[in-house]
Amino acid sequence: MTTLLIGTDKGAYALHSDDRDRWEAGKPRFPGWRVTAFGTAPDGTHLAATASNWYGATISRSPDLEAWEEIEDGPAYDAASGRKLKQIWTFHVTGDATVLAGVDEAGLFRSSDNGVSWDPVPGLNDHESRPGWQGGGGGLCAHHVLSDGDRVWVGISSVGLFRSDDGGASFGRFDQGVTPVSTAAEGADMDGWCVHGLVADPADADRIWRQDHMGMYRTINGGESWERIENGLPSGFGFAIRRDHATGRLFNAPIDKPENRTPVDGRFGVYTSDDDGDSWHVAGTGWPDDPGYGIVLRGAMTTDDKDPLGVYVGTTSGEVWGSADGGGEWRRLPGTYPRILTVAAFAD
Amino acid sequence: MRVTVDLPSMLTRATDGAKHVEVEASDVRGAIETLLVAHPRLRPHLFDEAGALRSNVLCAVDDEPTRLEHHLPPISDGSHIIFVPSVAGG
Repeated sequence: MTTLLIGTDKGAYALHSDDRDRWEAGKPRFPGWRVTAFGTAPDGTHLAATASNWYGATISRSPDLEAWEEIEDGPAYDAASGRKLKQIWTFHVTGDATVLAGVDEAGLFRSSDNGVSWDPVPGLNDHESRPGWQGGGGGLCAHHVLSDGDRVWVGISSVGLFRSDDGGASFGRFDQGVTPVSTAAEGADMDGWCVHGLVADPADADRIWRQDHMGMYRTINGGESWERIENGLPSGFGFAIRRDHATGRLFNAPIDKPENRTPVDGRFGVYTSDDDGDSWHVAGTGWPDDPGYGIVLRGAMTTDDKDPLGVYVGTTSGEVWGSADGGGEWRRLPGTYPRILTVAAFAD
Repeated sequence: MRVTVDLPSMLTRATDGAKHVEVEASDVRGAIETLLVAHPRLRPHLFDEAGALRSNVLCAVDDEPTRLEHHLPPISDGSHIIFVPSVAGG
């Protein structure tokens, strides 16, 4: 069975399917909470991140996606830092069986016990450039983490891409070739680069695709240099990016210019590239003819890693769209949900 | 003294479903510490990194509002300590 968990501004919702054709709704979870990320720890325990403007952010664990228990020792900044933990944006399992969590205010936390307890990663959290970090429209958030052995990449909105080559002990900055979103103000000592989404090739982790505020980019050297790759895209702006690692096919969801943030000309749909981003085109068929103005946020595109690949996107209008054939034929899945922040697929 | 702490429904995740928790304490601070020992997952939801009551959480002791900072209202047997979210909406 495939279970699709849909994290929204108000709770999480589930869709279940034995064949990825007929989907049935499960019961809602985390009522009232903003559900911001899902993940799976090395031991198979599932993780869910929740947040509230009243009650802060924390993590729950589940053995089966049904019974969730909130942890006691979640990510937290110490009082002396003056930082506040507002949201957990992403979970990432590293090769050494630990889990990393990227959070807002921007920082990184590590769990070595499958998400039960968490410690800060000072190499990033206390980075020398931190006094110059400024948040963007989505906050000051570390929202994407990639890794390959001791090499760890962290994307922070409005700040840029950080890379560690020593397991997170220290980080450098890797935005060469990407247009900054802000020019350093007088007296400031840094520009800001606005990573929106990252995906790497697991066979060669230094090959990374970057959906940035300022366009679509690619690196073949772990971020040492970036090149713009937008041929065929109606807009370089967007949030989400995913990759079918079996075929190399890339997926993104272009959005009109930043001040508008709707699909270009009201044409909602996913775009794809079959040549590592050299060229892009509308992914398959099935997209609505009627105008659509919901967009796909950075956590709201996922894959199920089955063969053929299932690809799923959730929108700010509360729709979920899916393809069970690697992005060829798309259709809308049942239900209309609150504003969708994240979508994750789990297979039995 | 036996005191009842009333919690918002969203926080019953952190109390194994309990919306009302009874504690034995001689003052407000003791009552809340006893509550947090019994239900440690409540702490980050009620208090921020500096240990202050979260800015959007309100607290009242027998209907007397308090930020749980300096002067704390007295309690007596049967007192109610209430945590509620601040109103947000339109």
